[in-house]
Amino acid sequence: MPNNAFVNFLFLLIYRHRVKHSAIFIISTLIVTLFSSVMLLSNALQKEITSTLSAQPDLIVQKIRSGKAVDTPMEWADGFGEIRGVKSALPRVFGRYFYEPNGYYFTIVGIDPFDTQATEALERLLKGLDVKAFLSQDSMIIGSGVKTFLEQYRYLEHYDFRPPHGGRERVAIFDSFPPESNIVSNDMVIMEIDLAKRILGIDEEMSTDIILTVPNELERDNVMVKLILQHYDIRVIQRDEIAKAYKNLFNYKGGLFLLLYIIVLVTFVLILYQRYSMISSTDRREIGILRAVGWSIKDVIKLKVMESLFVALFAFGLGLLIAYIYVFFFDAPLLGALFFGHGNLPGDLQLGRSIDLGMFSMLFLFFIVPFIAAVLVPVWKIAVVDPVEAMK
Amino acid sequence: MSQNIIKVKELNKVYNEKADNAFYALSDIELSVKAGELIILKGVSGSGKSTLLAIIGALSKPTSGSVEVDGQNIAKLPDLHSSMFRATTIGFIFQSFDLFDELDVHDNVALPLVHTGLSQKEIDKKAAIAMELAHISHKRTQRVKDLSGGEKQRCAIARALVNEPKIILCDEPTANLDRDNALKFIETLKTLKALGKTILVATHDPLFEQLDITDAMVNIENGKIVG
Amino acid sequence: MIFLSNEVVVFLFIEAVLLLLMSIAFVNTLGILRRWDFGSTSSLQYKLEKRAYLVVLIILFTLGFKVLQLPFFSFTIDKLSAIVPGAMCGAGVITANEYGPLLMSLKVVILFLTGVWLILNDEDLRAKEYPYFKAKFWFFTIIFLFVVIESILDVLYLANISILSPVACCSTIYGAVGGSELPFDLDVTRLLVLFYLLYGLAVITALYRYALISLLSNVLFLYVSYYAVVYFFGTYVYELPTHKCPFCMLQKEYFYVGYLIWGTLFLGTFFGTAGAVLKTIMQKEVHFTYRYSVWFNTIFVLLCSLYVVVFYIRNGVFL
Repeated sequence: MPNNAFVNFLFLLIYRHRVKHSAIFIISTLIVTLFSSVMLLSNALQKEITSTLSAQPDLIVQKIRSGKAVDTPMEWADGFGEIRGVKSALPRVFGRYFYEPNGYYFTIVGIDPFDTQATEALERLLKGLDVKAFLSQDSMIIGSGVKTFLEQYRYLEHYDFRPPHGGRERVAIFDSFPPESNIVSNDMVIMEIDLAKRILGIDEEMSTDIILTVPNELERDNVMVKLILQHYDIRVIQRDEIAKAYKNLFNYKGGLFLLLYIIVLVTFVLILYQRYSMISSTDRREIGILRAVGWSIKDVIKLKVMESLFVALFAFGLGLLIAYIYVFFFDAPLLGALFFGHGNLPGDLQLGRSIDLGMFSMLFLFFIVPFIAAVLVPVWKIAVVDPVEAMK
Repeated sequence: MSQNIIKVKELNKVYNEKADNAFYALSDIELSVKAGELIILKGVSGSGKSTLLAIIGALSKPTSGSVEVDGQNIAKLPDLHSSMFRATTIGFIFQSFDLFDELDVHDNVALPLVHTGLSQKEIDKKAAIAMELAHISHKRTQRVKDLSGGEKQRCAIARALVNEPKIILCDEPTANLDRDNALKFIETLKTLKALGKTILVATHDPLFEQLDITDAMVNIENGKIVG
Repeated sequence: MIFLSNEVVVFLFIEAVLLLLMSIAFVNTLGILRRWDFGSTSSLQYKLEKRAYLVVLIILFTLGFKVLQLPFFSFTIDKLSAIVPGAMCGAGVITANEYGPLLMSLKVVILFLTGVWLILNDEDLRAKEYPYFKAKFWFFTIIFLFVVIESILDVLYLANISILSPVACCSTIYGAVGGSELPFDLDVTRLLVLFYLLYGLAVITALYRYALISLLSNVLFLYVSYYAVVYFFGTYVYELPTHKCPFCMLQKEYFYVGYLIWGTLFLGTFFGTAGAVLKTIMQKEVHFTYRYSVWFNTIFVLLCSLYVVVFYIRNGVFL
């Protein structure tokens, strides 16, 4: 256990040699900031998506033709609803609409304002909607990202959609969602179901897919078998699978970055090794003096390792702090855009501020281990210099 | 009554031992020093007297022979133990003082105690006593690089005393001092001897030749003791 | 590709760095062992003594971080359970292929050997003539061999986790549905009696420093404790009689208490068994290990029992 005097002396030395340490310190801080930001961001996004997905339906049924999902007949929902264990079966209408001016996609979601909504999330979004006013003309409720884009082109009152079958559909902007709702509603456009079908080019008796609520987890496999017995040409998607697919995606984006980042880290480690291997005659003399007044090789190694460790820890702490502020207080400008692959609209999202123990230890190990590994050999080299020679 | 505190027998120190250019820095050294004695090792530079001091101080290892200091055979101690030996038994004073220029006097004096596990308070107390002994207390917060040659040496003396060693080894202590400071150093030596320290001084300064407190004068030439 | 998961990349990267350093130490060790002669005063011998410091430094560093890598590994596979279909916690992921359980046991063994090495090194440096010098470096070469195998298994294991085919969750593995699989046909009551008896035996043998019996009782205690925690104490941690799993308690929901439970059990039984192993290597008694053994085993037992007691006080019934 290093005693007080030892630590005091350590700090004194670091303070006296602060110019020598500053370059390493600054680079280290930058490196920590960079990868902590990416990791914190990808972790926060994963969490965001998980919480959004928990509001997703238990099972989704799509009609499949030649391996691709096609529109699903709405009447199927009645058949599915009769299967034991299925609490409800609802057809959904949604799709992507290409917004030409910016080259982005909106997600159009069709709703029946009188019915229960397909998901809890939608239900929450639409709470308190003035249905009468909403239905009095063709109108829509838009996500904050969509709003930003429409406003850029001065579409403040309404927007003219162009359905695939030709013509125009003028839709009034009824309302918009508050920006902090979440990722999924960012690029969303909600409108009455028949209007949505017209704009998306879906036939009247068709829907995009059918969602089932199956409260009992153990019942789901059974239900899936019965679904396939009713219609052979379907695909059934479970919610858990979607969650995992999303997680994979985000984890891999982070992972791919990590692989690139390792190259940076290795370069840094080599520089560090070089830097610490340059032993000046002053350094040698200092070690010689310490050895002469009774310090052992072990003591000197301890001093030198702790010196590096202190620089590394301080850089790590500062880097992490900067990353935390950058991601959670400033919502990660620039870097954020890299991760919003699917939400291609400007994301005004509030990320949940969180850093768990595992995340922290991962960041910590990832930086500290290579850092200290790089200085071990140089530290040893300087600690075992012959004291008599060193002081000459 | 006073026993031999230093016993050196058949000591050899050879560089490049197995090569053609083998160099005998020390050969067949026999030396005994009683506790409390002041011994002058005299010889030109390169004669091997510094090497002998380094070996007695366990700072370098002999090629053969035995070195017993304060009842311990230090010829073949692992580093952890030879360091412990230096930390408890030896005080070094070097020709070029060898201080940390960036640190102040107090921190330099405290250096030998920092790694020992003593508390900062105890260390400060011991350092204060040592600085008092070496007459450098008034400069305790000054950086070493701002000190004069004589002050630097007094700082070095304080550092050598702070661990309360039995033996003090001085390597050319007056080589970088003017005559005034050299005389002051000799006064200090007298004080140390009065304290009962065993002192070895390696020097070629004629100032030490007529010293009345010297117990023995040992001449070293080409790594051998003569006369 | 599981290799693109953040935690896996970091984990493997650190394993690679540590393996690289250990290889450097290993090469140096061979050189030192070949030419080591403490009696010699040649400059070669002094060089070797200095070189030994490099090896010790690297070993201390790598083994220290190996110790940190084990909880991080548990965390990694726990995190993977979010990606691997079917897995609810680390238990499913670790049994995703046949390498998993083997790897996990090997990691624990390495941790144990590491602890022994650290004590051995300390004793060696404290003596005046490096009495255990050769022993500790031979011992290190064995550890190194294990670490190489471990690294291979790391890659094999992680490469063979499929993220498509589902694995079992802990309730399947630890038999919440079927009958539980306790060893020696024990039921939970007898298991608990055995648990506390063995704890008592471990404490007594440690207090009286019976190296061999301490070794045996601690090994048995470790074995029985594993089952006691999974099949009894764990259910109180989860407050659910059917939840039998050694991994879930590592999760945040249970305040990471699993690390504390398994950590104290490991340390307690480690110190309990290390005494005998060290005695064999050094031909000398090391006393402090027994004291630590008593402490950690006691903390472990108290911690486990506390969960049961607190549950009883709160709810007035046992599970």
